[in-house]
Amino acid sequence: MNLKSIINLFSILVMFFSTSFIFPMIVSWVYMDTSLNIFITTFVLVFTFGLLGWYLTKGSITDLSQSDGFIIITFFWLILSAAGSIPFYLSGMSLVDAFFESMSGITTTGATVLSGLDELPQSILFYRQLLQWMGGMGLIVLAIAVMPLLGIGGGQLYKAEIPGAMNDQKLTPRIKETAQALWAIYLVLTLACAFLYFIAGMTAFDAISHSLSTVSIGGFSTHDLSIGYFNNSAIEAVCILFMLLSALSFTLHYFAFYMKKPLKYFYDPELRFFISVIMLIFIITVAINFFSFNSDASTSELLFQSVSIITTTGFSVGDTSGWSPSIGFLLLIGAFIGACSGSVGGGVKAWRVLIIINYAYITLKKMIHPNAVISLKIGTKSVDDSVASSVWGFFSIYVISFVILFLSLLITGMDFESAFSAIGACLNNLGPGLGDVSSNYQSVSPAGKLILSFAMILGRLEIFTLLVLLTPAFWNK
Amino acid sequence: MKIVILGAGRIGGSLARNLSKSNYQVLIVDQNKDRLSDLEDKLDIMTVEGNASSLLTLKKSGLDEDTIVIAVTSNDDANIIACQISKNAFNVKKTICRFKDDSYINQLDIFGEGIIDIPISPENEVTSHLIELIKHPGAEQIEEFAEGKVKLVSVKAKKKGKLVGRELKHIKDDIPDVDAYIPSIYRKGKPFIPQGDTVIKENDEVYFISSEANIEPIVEEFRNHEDSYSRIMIVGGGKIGFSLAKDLEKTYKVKLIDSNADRCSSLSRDLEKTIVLCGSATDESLLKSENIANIDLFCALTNDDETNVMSSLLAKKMGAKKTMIILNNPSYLGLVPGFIDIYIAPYRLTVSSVLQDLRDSDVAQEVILKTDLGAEAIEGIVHANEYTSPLFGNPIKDIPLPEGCSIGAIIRHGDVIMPNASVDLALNDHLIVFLSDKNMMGEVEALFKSS
Repeated sequence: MNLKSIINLFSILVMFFSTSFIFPMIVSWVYMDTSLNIFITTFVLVFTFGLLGWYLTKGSITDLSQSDGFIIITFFWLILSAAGSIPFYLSGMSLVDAFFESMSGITTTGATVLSGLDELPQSILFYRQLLQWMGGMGLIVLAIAVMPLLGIGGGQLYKAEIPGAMNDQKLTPRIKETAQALWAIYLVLTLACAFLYFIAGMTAFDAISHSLSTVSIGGFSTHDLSIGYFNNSAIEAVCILFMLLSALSFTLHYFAFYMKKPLKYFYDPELRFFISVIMLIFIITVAINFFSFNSDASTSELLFQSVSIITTTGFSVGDTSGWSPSIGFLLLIGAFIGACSGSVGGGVKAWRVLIIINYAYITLKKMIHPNAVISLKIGTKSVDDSVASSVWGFFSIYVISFVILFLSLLITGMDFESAFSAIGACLNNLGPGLGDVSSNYQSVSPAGKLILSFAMILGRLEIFTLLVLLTPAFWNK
Repeated sequence: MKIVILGAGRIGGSLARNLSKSNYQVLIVDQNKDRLSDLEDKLDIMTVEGNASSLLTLKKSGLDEDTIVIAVTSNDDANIIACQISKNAFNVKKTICRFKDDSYINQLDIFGEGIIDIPISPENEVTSHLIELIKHPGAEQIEEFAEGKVKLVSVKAKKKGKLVGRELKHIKDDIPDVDAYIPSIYRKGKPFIPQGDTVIKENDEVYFISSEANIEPIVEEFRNHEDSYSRIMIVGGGKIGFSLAKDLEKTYKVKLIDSNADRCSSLSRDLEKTIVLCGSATDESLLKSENIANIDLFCALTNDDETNVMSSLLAKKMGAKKTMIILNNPSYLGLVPGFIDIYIAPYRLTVSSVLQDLRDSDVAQEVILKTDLGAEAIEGIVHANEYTSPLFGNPIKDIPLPEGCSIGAIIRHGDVIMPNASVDLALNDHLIVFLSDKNMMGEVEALFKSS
């Protein structure tokens, strides 16, 4: 481990990140709001910090080992959240709130401590959306795409930052080109989404802002009522479409866009499974809604909510307080399954769940045919037992983390329903929960907010990357 | 440019390492998953698991008109078929095929016209390199330039050398009718460009350029006279050991040790004068009974680095005069100096010859001088003329080379010219350039571009 070269790399990444403050500056300048100084101050502060770090450790960059990769990824996300919270802090939020909001943005969770969004200056609103967009595909992946500095070590970082165990290998021989392709697809989706929002009736500002948080599976909105503010079914349809597209594996998009093989969409077992899960949950919610007397949801609301929650986006279209409570709970469980691997969404990932289910099925089959030799298959491809056991390992750690975080949140004094849903929503990078946290997280205690922030980064970095830093063995070398 | 390497063995692996660092897009194919994931962890390359000679695998690798296929599996048949498929079905730009059996090399058209563009034969290259070193005792490295007309030789200065402790210019007094050009000297691992008044010290590594005939007298300037070898012991009866023995057995007394009894009997059938011994090279009693103390040169050429190193150390301790080994693991290269007299990294030669084949520019030859330090020497042909390059027709000293690079010699019409400040650059000059770090390659290459 080479501290100097790690700091050097950090500094470069921090300087890189600081340039993103220029966009809210432009927004602030266009709308003549009061926050221009906040972003200028933050930009100068963060950039100077990066420049100083870079200057003091100049020329010490070396190849990164795998363990350096873990450190860099985790601390970079922490530093990013800290740096990202400066504008919130300067605009009058408490330190913990600012950190929570920033972390929630950058991990694409979409849980907020703010209310009265419609009164906030445009630049702050835009900045929140931008944070989600950058966090979605990952800033380090962006850095790999545009900067030549991350040689072989870049591969280690890339693997840790793209969500979901990539069941396919690299897309191109060079990691840099893979990163470029991913960001290009991401950018195209965002532009298309913004354009369609605009056509469907949003203002230009809302269209751009919402496209940033839709394609990143984030869920921040510029209005308290989220997508429901627009009360426009065309906008809801566009939103559903792009939430689904972004929740698919970007490998499939790559094959469709670059290799001209769009048919892959139809044959991908993970995609089929993912869509079936959404359909199944949607149908169940409709049934629940139909059979219970005190539930007043409309079918289109249920569809939107199913897609929004299961893809872990977290937009909403209306007041859910009149719904049967079992619907909210069912959707939250759906969020645990989450998006496809290699997408920008959260959750355990459809691919892992698919493996777990298949593995369980094989075990049952073996009880019926004790002598059968059955290999684990996803679609037509067989999967190594080692992959299956690592998926099981991931799942068990996911559950254990959930339980521990849940218990610690209960200790801070939260009620059972709110705590359960808050942890579920943050660990899966979903956003809104149930009970006290169904619209915002203002009522959570500062300690609770820190626990939830930890849950968010744990979920975004898929647990192992972060947990490995907490093992004594990692540091005893 | 996209390069598909078939076979992730030693050669494939070291090719992938070098090519991915030289900005090629590398994809490597092998049947062994562990090897692939090992390479993928270390290098920025893509891997495909599958049989190199199957259409399906090659399709998966995404071959197209811009791809270069390098077939380096250990199986000749698979390499040939893979080249045929890639050319016929995918029309790839270039195929490079490895042959173990060198009888094909001069009649590649029997596989179809234009199917195999470049044959390589790593074992033969290693063998001929070894033979060169054995013919010139004292030289530690010998590289050919300008199709063998000019050689670059490295020699370590020893106490008894005539020139040691004297200024370099006195070489003219000792051997007045021999031309030698000394472009670089490594002292304590650091290179510098010697001047006429540079005093040679013991243990300096001197690189000089001369013709084949002059190697001997120049080497003797730097170290005491060494008799040419007469008794040679070779360990390892593989392809390299066998062809070396075959070549040397006419002029030298050769003993060959191999541990496999079947292999030994087949070796003894194919070799005439060589004494084939069956046993372990690390067996002290075997070495003793074969009179190891009389051996002039002990060559350990097995595939196993550890066996090579340990058997050489043992042989040296028991009285062998000189040891020479091949080392595959690059990490060992920094360890053995001082313990082993001559060591070569066998697939380095193949890697540099493939690298040359791939380059667009007019670099005719590229040799790695120091693997651990990244030093290289290249031979480039000047294709720029007075219209395309401002350098043309001007004195050599005006060429803006990056720091750490120097022009070692100029070869004009087969003659070596000292790179004096007064020499003007001319069309078709071959320049031999020293690079202390191979990362400067790009900058230097630009000089030779024919634009």
